[in-house]
Amino acid sequence: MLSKNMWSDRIGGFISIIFGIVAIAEAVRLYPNRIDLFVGDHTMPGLIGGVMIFLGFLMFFVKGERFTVEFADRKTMIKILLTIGLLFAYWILLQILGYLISTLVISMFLFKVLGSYSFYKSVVFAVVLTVLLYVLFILWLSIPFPTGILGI
Amino acid sequence: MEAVSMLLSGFVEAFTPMNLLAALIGALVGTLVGMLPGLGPTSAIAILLPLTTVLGPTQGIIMLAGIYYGAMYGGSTTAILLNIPGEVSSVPTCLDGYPLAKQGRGGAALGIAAIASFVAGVMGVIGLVFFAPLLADQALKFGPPEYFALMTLALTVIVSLAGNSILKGLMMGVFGYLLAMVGMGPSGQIRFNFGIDELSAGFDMISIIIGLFAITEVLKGMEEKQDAISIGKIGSVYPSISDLRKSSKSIFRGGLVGFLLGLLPGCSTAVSTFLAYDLEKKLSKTPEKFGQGAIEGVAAPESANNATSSAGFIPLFALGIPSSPPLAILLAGLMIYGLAPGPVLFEQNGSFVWTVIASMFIGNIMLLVLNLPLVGIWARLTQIPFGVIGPVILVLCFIGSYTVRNNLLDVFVALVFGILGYIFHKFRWPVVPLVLCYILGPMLEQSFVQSLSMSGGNFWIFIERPISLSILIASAILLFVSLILIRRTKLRAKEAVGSEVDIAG
Repeated sequence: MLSKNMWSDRIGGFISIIFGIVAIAEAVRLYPNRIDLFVGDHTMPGLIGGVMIFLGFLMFFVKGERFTVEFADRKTMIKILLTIGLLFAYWILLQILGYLISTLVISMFLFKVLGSYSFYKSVVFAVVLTVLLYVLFILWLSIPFPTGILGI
Repeated sequence: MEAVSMLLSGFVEAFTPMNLLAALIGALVGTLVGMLPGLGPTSAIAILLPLTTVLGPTQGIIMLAGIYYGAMYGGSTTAILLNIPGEVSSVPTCLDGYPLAKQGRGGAALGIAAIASFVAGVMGVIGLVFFAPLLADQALKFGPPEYFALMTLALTVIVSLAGNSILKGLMMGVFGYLLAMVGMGPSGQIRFNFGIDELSAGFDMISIIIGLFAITEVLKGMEEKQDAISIGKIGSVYPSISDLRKSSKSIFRGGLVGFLLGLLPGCSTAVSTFLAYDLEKKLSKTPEKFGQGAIEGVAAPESANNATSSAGFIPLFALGIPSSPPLAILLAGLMIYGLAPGPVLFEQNGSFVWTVIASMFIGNIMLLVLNLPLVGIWARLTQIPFGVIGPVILVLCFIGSYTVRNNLLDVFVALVFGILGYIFHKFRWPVVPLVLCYILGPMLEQSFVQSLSMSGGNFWIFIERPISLSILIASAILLFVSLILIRRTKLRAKEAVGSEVDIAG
């Protein structure tokens, strides 16, 4: 009989089954290149795939813990989503504008969103952070960062 | 005797200026990060691990070890002064530490915590000096089936790291292993790349760790109330003779409990701190004072905490088994440097291991000498607003995930796992089993395939060999003991906190 597990757990179980099927498909693809029946790169994908399917099904039948998932208030959730958006923007800008400019721009917005500081304060914090990191990682430790189309 | 002479040569190496500096910076940064709200030893090591790769292996690991025990100590400061346990293992410290702080004796509690941490840390390192080489010597007799059994033993840790659902812990573990299989298999075939060339080299484990621990921690921190909490007068940090007399036996007993439990893979620091606290209360002539501000109630759990952390290095160095989340990340650190933790580490990289062990003694002394006079400054640093710390950590996460392979895909992976980590946290899917299996999975696979290759596909090889069979039986016993201890700790933590808590790690 199906247990009354939380939806999130059942979705987790379902995803596990899908991943398990993918792993077994990969094991089947690799099987012709085996050294022996259980010796080769196919063995563990097959085994893990089987375990994932088994555990995924268990998630539907074994009674798990029940709890209320609590998210933050609307304002905080918007801030979290904005932060995630800024991080993706940072990743894209790193490739276009390079490390220095993108760090300055994105950290300014991060200080604004996470700390709710004024525009002026956010700029000051961003400049200080960027300069400190520049001195530490680029000047001192000579780590090669992306320079972007401007070559900075 | 050989261990002592190796340790002495380790001291000679550890006393070089760069190694001393690495230990000093590690201990200071660790204490600082451990005190910042929302950041524990695991996230501290996760953020700083890639940044230490610019150093040599010895300095890098010395610094990481310093960060580890510094952060453990730092966590006790917030527990005592603010009643905020950074980790479940600090809950027993809160029980008596915070009442002491409210009585204006926070300084004495911090002083005793520092001394207890130091004594237990040294006890743990002495144990490491004598036990680890013995264990490693035995483990040198291991072949692939024994390694497979050892990896099985290591994976029993999942039970204690799984939080409130073992099933979810197991699922996260196999998911971690699935991620580890992306890229080249042991026989050289590319797996799970689905035609995408960038996936052929596999996922970088540091990016996954940074995402799951550091980025997720910032997202979680945004949800928590970030008001600065004012700290009252903490008084003198130098405990009185009477405090020292009262605490000395508690420190020793706590250290012993912590050390013995720390040897068992699968016993988290939370288990040992609660056990040490309860033991002290049972042995006390005035148990009614516990919870009201008994100095022994701070000494015992703090001592147990540090002894467990130090003893955890024994299975890590000798067998390659991490017994806690920060040690799992340290294991990743060792692997970045191309050092294979386990029995051969002592044989092939003896100088490295003994220098790191010697530096642990030095790091513990540094922590004691620096932390007592600096307690006031550290306490003020807990007031740094999250709005400043958060952006700094996020930018460091980007830098950290990029620097390991100079690859922007790794930054993207860290970001994705940061978001996934937040979702996992919300729906209580434990992430530590994922990381553990990601690290141990490839070793498990290699020993499994080699064993079957040796036996011509016969699975009996794992139980025909005495050492392998013994380890497998030990795994089953350990699993049983872990389940009992976890159950007990969960009940105690629930009593102490008032609600169900996740004792993973």
